[in-house]
Amino acid sequence: MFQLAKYNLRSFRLSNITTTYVRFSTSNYNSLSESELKSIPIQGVIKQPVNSSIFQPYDVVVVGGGHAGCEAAHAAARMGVRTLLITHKLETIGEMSCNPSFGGIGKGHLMREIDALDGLCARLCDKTGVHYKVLNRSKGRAVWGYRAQIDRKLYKQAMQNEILNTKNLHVMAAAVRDIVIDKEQACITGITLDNHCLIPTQSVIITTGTFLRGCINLGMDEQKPAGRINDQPAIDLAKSIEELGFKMGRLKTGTPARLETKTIDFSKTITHKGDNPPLPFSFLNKHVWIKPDEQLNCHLTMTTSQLADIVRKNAHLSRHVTQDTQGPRYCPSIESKILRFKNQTHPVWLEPEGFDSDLTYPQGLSCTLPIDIQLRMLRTIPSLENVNMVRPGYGVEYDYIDPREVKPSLETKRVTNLFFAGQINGTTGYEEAAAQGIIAGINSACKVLNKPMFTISRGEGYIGVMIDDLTLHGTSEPYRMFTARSEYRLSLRADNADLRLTQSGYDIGCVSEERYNQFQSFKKNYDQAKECLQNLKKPMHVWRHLLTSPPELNPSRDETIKSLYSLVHQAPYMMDNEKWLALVPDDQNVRSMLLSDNELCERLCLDAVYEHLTKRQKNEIDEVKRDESFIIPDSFDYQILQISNEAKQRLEEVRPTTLGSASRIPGITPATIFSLLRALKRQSQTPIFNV
Amino acid sequence: MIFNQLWKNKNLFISRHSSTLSTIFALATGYQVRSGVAIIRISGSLATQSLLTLTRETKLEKFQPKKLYLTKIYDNKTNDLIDQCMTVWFKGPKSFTGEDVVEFHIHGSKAIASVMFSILSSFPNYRLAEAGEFSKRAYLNGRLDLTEAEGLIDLINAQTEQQRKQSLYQMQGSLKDLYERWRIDLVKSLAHSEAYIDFHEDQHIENDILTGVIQKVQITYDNISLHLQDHRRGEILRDGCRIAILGAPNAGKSSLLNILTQKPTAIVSSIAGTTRDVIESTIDLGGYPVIICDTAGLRITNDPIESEGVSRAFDRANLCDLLIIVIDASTLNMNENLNEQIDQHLSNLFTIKSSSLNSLTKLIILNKIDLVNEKSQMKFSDNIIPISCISNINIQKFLSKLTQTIADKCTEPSFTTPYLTNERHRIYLTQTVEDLKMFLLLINNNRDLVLAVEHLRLAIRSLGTITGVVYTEELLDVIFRDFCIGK
Repeated sequence: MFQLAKYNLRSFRLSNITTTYVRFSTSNYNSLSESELKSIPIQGVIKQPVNSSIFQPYDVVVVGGGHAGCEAAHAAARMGVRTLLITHKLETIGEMSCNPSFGGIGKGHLMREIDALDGLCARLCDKTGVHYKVLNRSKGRAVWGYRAQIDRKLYKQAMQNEILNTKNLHVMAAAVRDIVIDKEQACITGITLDNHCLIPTQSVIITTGTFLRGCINLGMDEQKPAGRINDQPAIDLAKSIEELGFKMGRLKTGTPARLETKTIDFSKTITHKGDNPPLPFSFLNKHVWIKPDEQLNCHLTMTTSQLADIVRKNAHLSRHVTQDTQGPRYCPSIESKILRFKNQTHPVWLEPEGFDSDLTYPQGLSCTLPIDIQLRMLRTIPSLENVNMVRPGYGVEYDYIDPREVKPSLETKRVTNLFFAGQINGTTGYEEAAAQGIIAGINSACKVLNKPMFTISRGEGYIGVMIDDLTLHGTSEPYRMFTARSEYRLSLRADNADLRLTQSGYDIGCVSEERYNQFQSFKKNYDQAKECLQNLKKPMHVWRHLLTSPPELNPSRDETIKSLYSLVHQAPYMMDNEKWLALVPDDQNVRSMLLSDNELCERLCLDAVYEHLTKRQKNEIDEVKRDESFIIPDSFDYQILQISNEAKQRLEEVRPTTLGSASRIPGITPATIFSLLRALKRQSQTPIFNV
Repeated sequence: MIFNQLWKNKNLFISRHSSTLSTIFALATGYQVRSGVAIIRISGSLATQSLLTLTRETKLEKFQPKKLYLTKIYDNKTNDLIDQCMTVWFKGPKSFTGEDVVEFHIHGSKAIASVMFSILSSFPNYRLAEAGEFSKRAYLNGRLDLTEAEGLIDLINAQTEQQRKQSLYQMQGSLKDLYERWRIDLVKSLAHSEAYIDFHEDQHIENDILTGVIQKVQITYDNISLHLQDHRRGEILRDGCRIAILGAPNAGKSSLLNILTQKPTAIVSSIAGTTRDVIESTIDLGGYPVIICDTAGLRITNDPIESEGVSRAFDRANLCDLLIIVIDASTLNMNENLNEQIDQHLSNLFTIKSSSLNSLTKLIILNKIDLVNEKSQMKFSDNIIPISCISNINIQKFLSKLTQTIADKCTEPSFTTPYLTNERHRIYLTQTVEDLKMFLLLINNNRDLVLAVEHLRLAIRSLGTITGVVYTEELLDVIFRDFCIGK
């Protein structure tokens, strides 16, 4: 049972006022007809109010304009609810505050899923990238990692352009002081700004990233409160959140120095060119915005033993290292890499920051050492002997909320209609943040619209894997996505994200008609072509005769009947696309369709490769989904179950939201699950399912 | 009103999914099979597949739901007869689980059950049921009401407890160590493969990491395969060694049985074809439990009853661990090459049912040696013993040889290698080995790496059902410990 303890007097008073205000305003809403409401267009920037009495209530307020905030606000607006995005500074909306890249292995999968739900980041990366590269090409399509170096400035512009021109979305530059809560109902009623103005709203999404009591470390002496260098942290908000009783923890991350590009001797590095052709992130695009040969290069160099010496000698000057008693398992900085691993050299990627930027980002060199030592360290690296350091690297420490405080919908368990998304939930990376943003955005709107919660199961997407991991197990280090985390890796591929998610996204209302139409026409062709290939069956020796080149004239008889579909991925029969495509009947234009649509053809072959194992996984995924359909009510009392005290304690700790998630808690036995199921069914005068 | 609507939808939702769930099977009569009848229950959308395949029928119309049929069931790969049994099926939703359910009422023999299990687990989308899974499905499909469900929790608890007792963590000694070692090796191999997939390109994981993985997996694969090829030693030790006495009519098989059981278990007469059915007897031989069966004399005959007896003799022989072949010594010419004559005699016997009993250990008895005169010149290889049941010649020698052979079957030369004693373990280990084989095959042929690694994942999952589940966190611990991964 949660507590809403120790309210300070001001917000208590405010919450009383707000309750009445919101009641008034909701009745206002009801008196307005649908068309009247729609006729009040909201879009673009709105000024911070001077006093609250004149202010229109919003349906959803998003606090924070980073990657989670932008996706959340845009998703809520797409769902058709009145949305307000509040950020400290308008010009930092969509800022890429660390690495100048998007995507990667696992992260690229998240982006494709965000795109399948009609989110922003994939689409924007297709028009702002400077170097596109798919990682893992040699390791199988299921783990291809879409990745690109992005022009920071262009990305930010594109994002601001998008956010400021979205229907139903207002943007305001202001500092949020507090959230306002109806104490009785434990329900959000509004927020207050730092000038004590009140903005009433039905739900709030907090996406403040590292800004909650953020603190920058640079050497031992310099430590100052800030979320990002030169930006103010949000201290009051952190306090309010803590006062509500949310369990919080502290994490750290870091960013490397920025280098002046013209002082780098690239001749001493290995040059990596972008892909030709560069593959777009978004399902909507067939091409990216630049020509293959216009792409910028990345460069690889390695650290030397000299650098290791410098780090070792000065380790006592690094705050991250000195504090690192029980640090995360991964290495947040070059210091921890050197101190924890024997190997003396580590890769450093020199990544371009953009077309008209004269900065280079040295990936792999996150560092919190004092400035002078950082420079000495940098100059030991081949190609950086004369480098000019424009900005030093620094570490950031920040508060995060134990993600077990949120439900799979990202709504908090303590306060109704309050959502957390992004780094605040203990994740790291733009993509992880954006993915949470879109889910929180959709669900906050669902709450307003009285729709069921939109959740993605582990079997449906990496987004589901991430949120399930976080909400069930919490995290003690910044959570990053990689493919090893998914048990259904072969089914959750970047290429089929649309087939997995777009339909349900459309059903809930976050996918535009335009995308849906494109998806449907693709799916129609896809289904038709697949069915056609599956129905094309011949004995194996006939196939061998038809498909091998040069044709096997007298293949030994093999009467096993196989479909062309089951062969499309099998060498040596399928080396030559032209050859097997010629065997496809064209009575329903399937052949010409496959010939003209290379992507369709490729995706079919890909499905066929993984078919025999994904079929096996589908059963399991369905079983998971079935168990996920049993919702455990928020107020469920585990004490009534006749199970061991240990099991009760575990369930009480996590408070799983579905039978499925309960069964994934380590140590929970089938008998416990059965008791739970029985109790749920007994209580099920109320519906216990999820769509 | 709205709730009713939702409730309806919910059921729709569930039934839509249950049609694609895997088909599960288990012994419905408990794991200790030493009973007259054992029931194997199969539930799921593909359940009737097993009914058709095992009975070699093509049309399901042959079996009306809810009616018992007496049928023979065959191994679909080797075409060997497994058992004659009663079968019945229930059409979903009017069944225990609400899905299609098939039941095989087989003879209560561990051997038959284990053959059935290995066949069923080879069917696509079939798997062994988890504790309480039938009941859970029944419950989810609305086939059990709350009062009925009360008792089920106890049942599941009992089943879970039983499996827990059988599981590794309750096991003492070398078997636990062995499995645990495999588990650690495979977890490490998987973690390294996963690291290679997720971090090779941007964090520079060395290229030769996979070579190490392949070597390690190969070793584990070899070890588990070896462990599985133990000729069921552990189970024999637990359940008893099964011995069939085979031979031409009137060779003295029943006399031998009576000597072994030390009582007139079988009727003995000089008339060929006295024994018609399989006569089974359980004895204790040198401390080892032995189930010994006397069978009908093998010959081609027009008598339908005797002919059936001959078939049964072969069927039983196929399920045994050891064969005692009894040959009437007086039918052999002691001056000619004896070994050749014996080989000829055996192949004549076995061609009657074109059966291949080659893989089984055989002990050859030359009975009625008292009727042979040229004793002095006889030289026999080690597994041929001349005896006389009537005159009690060489019986002690035969018994000690038999005890020795059984002891060999039950123990390994090295006592540090433990045996596999549990059928459930065998199924999961077999799956582990199969997936490891696929992994090695795919990776050595440079096929899709993720596809290969998926088999490694499946292998670990099968092993994990014995040794405890491998959670992703455990893999990540290895990845972050062995590789430098960071910002």
